[in-house]
Amino acid sequence: MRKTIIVKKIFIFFILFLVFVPMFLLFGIDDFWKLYNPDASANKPETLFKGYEHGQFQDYLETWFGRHFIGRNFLIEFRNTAYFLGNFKYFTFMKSYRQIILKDNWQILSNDLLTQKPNQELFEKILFIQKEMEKKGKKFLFVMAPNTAHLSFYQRLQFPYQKYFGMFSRLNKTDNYGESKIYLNKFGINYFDVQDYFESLIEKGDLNVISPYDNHWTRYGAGLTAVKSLNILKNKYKTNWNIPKVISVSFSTEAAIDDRDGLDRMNIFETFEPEYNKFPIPVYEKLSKNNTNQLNFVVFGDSFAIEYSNELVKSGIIPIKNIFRRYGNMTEQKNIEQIISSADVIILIVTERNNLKEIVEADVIVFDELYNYFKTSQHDISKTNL
Amino acid sequence: MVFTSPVFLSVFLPILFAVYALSQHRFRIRILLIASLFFYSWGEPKAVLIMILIIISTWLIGSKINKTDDTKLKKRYLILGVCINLSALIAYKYLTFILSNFNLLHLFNIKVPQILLPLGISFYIFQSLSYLVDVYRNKIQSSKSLINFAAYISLFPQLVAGPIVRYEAIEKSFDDRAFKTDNVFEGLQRFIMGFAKKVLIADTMAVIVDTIFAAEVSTIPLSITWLGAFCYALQIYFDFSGYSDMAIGLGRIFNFKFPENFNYPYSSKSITEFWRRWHMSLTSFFRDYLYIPLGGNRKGKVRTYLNLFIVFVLCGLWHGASWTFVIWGIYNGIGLIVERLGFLKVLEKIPAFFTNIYVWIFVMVGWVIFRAPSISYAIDYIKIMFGGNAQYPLSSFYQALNFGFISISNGYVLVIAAIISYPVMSNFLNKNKDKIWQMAALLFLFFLTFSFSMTVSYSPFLYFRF
Repeated sequence: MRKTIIVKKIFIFFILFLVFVPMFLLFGIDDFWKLYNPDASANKPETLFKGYEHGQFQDYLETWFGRHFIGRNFLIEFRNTAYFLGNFKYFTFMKSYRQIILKDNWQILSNDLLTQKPNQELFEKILFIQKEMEKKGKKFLFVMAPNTAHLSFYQRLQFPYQKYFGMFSRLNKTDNYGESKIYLNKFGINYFDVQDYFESLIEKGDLNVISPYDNHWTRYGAGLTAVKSLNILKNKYKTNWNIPKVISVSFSTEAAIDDRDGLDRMNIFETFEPEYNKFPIPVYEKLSKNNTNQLNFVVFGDSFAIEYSNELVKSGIIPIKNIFRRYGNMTEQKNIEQIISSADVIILIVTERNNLKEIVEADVIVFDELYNYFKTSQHDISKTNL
Repeated sequence: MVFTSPVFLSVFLPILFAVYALSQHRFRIRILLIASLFFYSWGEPKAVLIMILIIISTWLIGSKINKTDDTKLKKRYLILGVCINLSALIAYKYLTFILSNFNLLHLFNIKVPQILLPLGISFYIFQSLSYLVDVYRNKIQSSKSLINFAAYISLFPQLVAGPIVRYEAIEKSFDDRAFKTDNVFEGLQRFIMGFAKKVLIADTMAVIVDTIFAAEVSTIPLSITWLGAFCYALQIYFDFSGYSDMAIGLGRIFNFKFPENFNYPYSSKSITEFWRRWHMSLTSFFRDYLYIPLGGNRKGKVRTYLNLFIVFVLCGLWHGASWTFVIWGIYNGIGLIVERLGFLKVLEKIPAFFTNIYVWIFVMVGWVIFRAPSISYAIDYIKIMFGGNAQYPLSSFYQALNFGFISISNGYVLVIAAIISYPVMSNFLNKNKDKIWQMAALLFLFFLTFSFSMTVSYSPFLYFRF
């Protein structure tokens, strides 16, 4: 009896300990556990109970406390581990609450709902868009961002044992990118194999294409992709475009937005490590004659598309007024039909991860928008014929 | 403040524990009352005044009823108390609904005010009503202490989503304010179970349910409609019973014994049995304070069916001011009447396995009506469930995977949820109640749930909106 009481008291003590620990936060030692993530940071309410009657104080306190409580990082790791234990045999134990690297370079977001087969319908839609574009005399290119798990800083976060246990993988041996390539080739989609291109550059010793702190390509990588992709279009559609070359790389001591996801958004790194504290920027060839600045460009896609289109402008290929880019609904609302109908070139960019399922969040909007546009205009044509 | 939020778990509860444990016994109810009013005002800073008014007026009227021997006067006081309580409920919960329906019928053209529903009003008004009626029926003596009565109405564990507690159930507990190791232990165990039910199961089911019900109804494949209904059945059960477990557990920690609210309803073999096991504190309220006063089953068959119908229409309406809830109530009422008409006897002859499937199907269709944003959505959804209008009638469960909203781990949770919605584990757990391994498992479960609750966004309990 006495033993049971002691055990019960120990149990109660443990539970109380667990709920009491985050309370140390109230005594101002939260800096020790500070998150380096601007998305996750929240301000402490300035005055106690200010705005209580409208619920403002409560909102502030709950947000701040929820994001800064002691042990949050560990709990996030623990949660991710538990969550993915059911899905996979082994995985990387990461500090980030969003990015998960799995075996064989599969990479997903923690809120992704992973399926094992690429979404074939997506590729059918891309093919449909391409055919409709070509029917209307427009140029089309699909660009799939490279496998970030394989090439970006995610690689640094994988445990070495993964490669030895890969043979027990339940998933296909190819990564997301490889899976998608099968479909791109099967459907005859006009695409740019960025991964192959980057791998060849890396093999040659050019390590600057992807940031050591980010899953995106660097400004340099985006510039090379922009130039190379336009050359692919030039060759395919036999145009006489003058496209500048990337003649060298310079380095900035300031990180661009797309150099630092691992620090800012994912809270994985705390500071830049000395060996990676320079950030590559492309240096473009100066052209005496530019014959592409009358072209209307539409770049649809995700964050990769934004970086890509930035370089199209910075390289001087396209003036900013002739480019329209769309990242979900994050650009200003314009008459999308007018923009697409006046476009000479449409470039569709997607993160390779997204081929696995219905494209998430922002991407689904742009894909469907394009698809629906062409689907509707096809109906209109048939009506006219009648 | 919800029970699963970091502020509740790591600030409110520890501070209350500490203050409560260190204070003298005679101050403990006051501490609980202040904590409860603070808890309520955290989410509803202004609506706390409504609750305080209800508390004071109900307590005063209860005292008047108790003091007078004049039956007519007693009745008048009761009517006054009921009117005050119901008018608050109607004004805050149903006025917008009533006026917008009048406008639809072109009876009036009144500007419909947007009134925010105070948290838990349906629950504490029902507790007030039960108190008044019980005093009137001489079942209980009115509370001599306003503080005790205020604590009864506003007690934070059950304030916002029940169970609906009768005054007689906890009256004696007000005087027994000792902190008992056994009760704290038992309460914590119950709290952890409820916490896990809500965070690990109900919130996982919500991911699937929200995705399915957000889709354009005509695009949902037949199998997915069933999956959506099944997952919602599990979500609402684990969400609400999880909350009830947490409330009962917290009550136990503070030495109150709240009534049970669920008894494995999905193991039922008829709709009648289902309603004996589902939201028991609400059904017993309707039985004792509406069905029996209407005559119950004592005034012939037709009147019994009519009484049942009225009870279930009001039960539906209690859940929310919307036609979907009314239809859901009618649907269940009809189900019960049909069983009373003789179907119950037919069910008794059928093997339990099949009658349980019948209950699942009936209840799932009901939950679709309950969950649907509109009646037309519910009709279209149910049509697809039964093969009508389905664009993908032969789609398989595998499509759920390709649909993109069910991951392997969600699938595991789904299977576990379906299993533990039956009493398969209860005997085993009861036998091993005080075993060290079970405590260790509970600690792990708490830590796991804690980590999930701390790292996901706000997820209010479904029954908060009722």
